[in-house]
Amino acid sequence: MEFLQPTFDWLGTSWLGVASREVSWIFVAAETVHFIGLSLLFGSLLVIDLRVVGFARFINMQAAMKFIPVAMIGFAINLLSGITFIASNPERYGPNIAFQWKMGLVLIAGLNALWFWFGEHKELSQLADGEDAEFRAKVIAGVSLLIWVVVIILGRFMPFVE
Amino acid sequence: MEFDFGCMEPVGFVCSVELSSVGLWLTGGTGNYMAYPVTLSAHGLGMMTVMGVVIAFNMRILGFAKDISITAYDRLFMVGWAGFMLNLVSGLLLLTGYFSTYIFQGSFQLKMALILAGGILMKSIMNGIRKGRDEKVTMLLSVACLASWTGAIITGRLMAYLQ
Repeated sequence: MEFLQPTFDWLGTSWLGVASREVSWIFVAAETVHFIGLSLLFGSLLVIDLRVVGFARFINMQAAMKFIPVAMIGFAINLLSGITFIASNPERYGPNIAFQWKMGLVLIAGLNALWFWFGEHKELSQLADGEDAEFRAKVIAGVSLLIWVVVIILGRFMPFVE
Repeated sequence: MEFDFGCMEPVGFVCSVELSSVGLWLTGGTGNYMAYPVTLSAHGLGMMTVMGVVIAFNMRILGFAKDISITAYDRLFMVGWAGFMLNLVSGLLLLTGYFSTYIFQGSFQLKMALILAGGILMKSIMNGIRKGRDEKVTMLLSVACLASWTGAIITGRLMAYLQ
């Protein structure tokens, strides 16, 4: 991730970087907020994706779609708290292999979500309670869950592969 | 990764737990340095699953996505229980490895109390729905439930910083 290192270094010299190093509680608070953001994101995805894969197919699909903005709020919270982590110690994250894989998978998850929204969203919204989704949509939802499970695991692994 | 002994000799029950084969396995005393990160990752995954289900369910109780029937959450609860079991097993392993640190730690004790409260509140909310309890009371319990589980996450994080 060398191409991003200048951006990480700039973050480190920004007011956020300085504040997160000088005010001891900012990093701890960002970690807690990161956990809560991920819970919002993962909880929303559990509702949507488990409905689509058919495990919880009696969840009303249109109502489940209302969790999409909640997932996006969770993601935004995680993005901001994640930027705070990088700003606090720019040298630490870029070379970390778990961080690199995590970011790669988050990118793939984002592309997968775009495919879900533009390719499947309309058709899925028509599903009746208990009705099975198309196989293609099930694959997208299954991949989404799998990716986020691995993202959570990689996030926890980051301090151990430095 | 460093080999981390909380207790250097078995001076009592607390240290004997930490120096048990399970405790030593977790902290790397048996030469397996992956045990701790793998267990911690499992704990994180379990926590996200439990918290995710708790948030999704309580948002519904508080009026979000009302078109989802409460019974449709049954399958989600199964996933939540699986996450809880993962948390319980990984949590017990982590506790065994760092028994002398955690057992006397205020943030750990508070975390356990909040998880207990959160679990009781989830059960109470479900019972109230089955018995047709006043919706406002159920919503109040739901807010308390979300607060308990959020508190559990906060205290869990603080465990890494407070002694």
